[in-house]
Amino acid sequence: MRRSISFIMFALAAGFLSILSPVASAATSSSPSAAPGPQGTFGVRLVDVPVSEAGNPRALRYIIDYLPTGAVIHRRILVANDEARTARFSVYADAAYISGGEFVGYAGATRNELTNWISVQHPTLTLAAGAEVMDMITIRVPPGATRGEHYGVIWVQQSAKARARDAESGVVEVSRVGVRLYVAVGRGGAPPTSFDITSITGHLTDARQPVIVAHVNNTGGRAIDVNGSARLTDGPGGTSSGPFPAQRIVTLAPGQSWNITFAAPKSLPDGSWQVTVTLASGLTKATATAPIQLTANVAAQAATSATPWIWLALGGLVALVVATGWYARQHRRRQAPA
Amino acid sequence: MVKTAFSILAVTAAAGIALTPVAASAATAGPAVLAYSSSPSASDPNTTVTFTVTVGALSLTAPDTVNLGSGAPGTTITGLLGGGAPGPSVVVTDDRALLAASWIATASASSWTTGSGTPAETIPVTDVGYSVGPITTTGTITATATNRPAGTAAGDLSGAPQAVVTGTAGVGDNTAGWDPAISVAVPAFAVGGIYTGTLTQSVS
Repeated sequence: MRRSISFIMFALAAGFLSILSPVASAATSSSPSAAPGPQGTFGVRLVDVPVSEAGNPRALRYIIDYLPTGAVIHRRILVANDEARTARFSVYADAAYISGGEFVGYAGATRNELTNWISVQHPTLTLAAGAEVMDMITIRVPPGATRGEHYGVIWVQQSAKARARDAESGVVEVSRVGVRLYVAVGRGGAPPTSFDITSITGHLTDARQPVIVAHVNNTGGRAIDVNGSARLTDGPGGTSSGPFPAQRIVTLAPGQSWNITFAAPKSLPDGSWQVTVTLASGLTKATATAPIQLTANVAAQAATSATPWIWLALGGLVALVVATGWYARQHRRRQAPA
Repeated sequence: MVKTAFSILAVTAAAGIALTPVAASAATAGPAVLAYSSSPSASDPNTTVTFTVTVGALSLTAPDTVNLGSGAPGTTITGLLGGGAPGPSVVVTDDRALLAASWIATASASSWTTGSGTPAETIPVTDVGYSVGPITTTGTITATATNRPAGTAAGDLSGAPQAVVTGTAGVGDNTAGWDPAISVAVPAFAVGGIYTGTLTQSVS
């Protein structure tokens, strides 16, 4: 009986240990082990995503929705405090705009039509070191909402405490991380997402860096975040190179267009190449192929084209010397027999 | 008989306890769908069935108060946001990058004021510049910097925030860090004192 009890105790103890160890390893793997920066970091991530957008990578990090008027949706976000101290955060909705290929949230808590529809369950959060908590974002589309896509950001903001004792001019930092909102209003089927690559060009910069530029035009009814790569084939000697990633992702509202650039290494040989640009935004893709010429700039070409002239001048000089020598010889011969 | 039954029961219990956490950690290992959550409530006319994702977070370093230094009116005070400490002072960590995520980091500033903030006690924000400097990255990420020099239209940090660093083509867990130099061109009419301003850095 005693042996059974001790066996049971051992089994229970082994059970407890096995419960603890996977949880402990899960805890260390979920939070960053070495926090960059002296005080650590804080972060946000989207938690709830509509099932209909399950395969769309953009929908897993931004709140993207197409809603009729009168709709109410709830989206949870997770706020994580990976700092070594208790921190206070404020959570609020802000307006945003898309311009110049960039999605930019306005400074502060700017209002637009979309932010008026948004309520945040916990506008202020106090999190202990290493803690994380969910916050609920509710979006209610009113009956008179404007049709079309609206842009905003849900910011999680932390402000540094201003220290009045500083003897020198100082900066009080405010840090914000956000989840973007791309919320479209309409009835019936969602507007299509589509974009075109209207041109592809290539050139060498002054530093002899090959750059490929593709012009992208948003032809659909939803905003796109375009990323992709360029592959070069049929180069000098039949070589191919790449793929080279885009230098910067380009965000375009419906009807906007912008250039997306790809940088190839400087060691790429000059000459004519065939470029294939493959771009994607979420699940929508576009590909285009065009020939480009990567040649040195005009000033260098002018310098090299001056050399034939030097050869011509030298040749003329040599001819002159030979002709003079021959004529002098002829003259001496005529005088010799006398 | 009772003893063997007891020991079998104990072994089974231990095995059950041991197996359960393994199953739970396997479910949380990847960025896949965990479970269908959301139950439609009677008051919502249109609800969307959602599922919960377990991909990582977009993180930024915690904000701090930094001394930029001192200078006479008519000179430019320049200081690093890290205050001279080694390593980057602003670090963006993108753990969502399993899905080739990208982000944009913007900066905006307020004017620098001392005392009660009268015009003579104010350095306008158009005199503030943000220079990114070299970007150090870990993991796979392409980060591009755009400097915002003071006194230029592109360097105007007063209105809508200006993009300073954009990250793209991230694969796996990655970070991009930089130590920006903040320059404040002190106007000739500025009075002496301790000036304080706000710099907002946002990542989305």
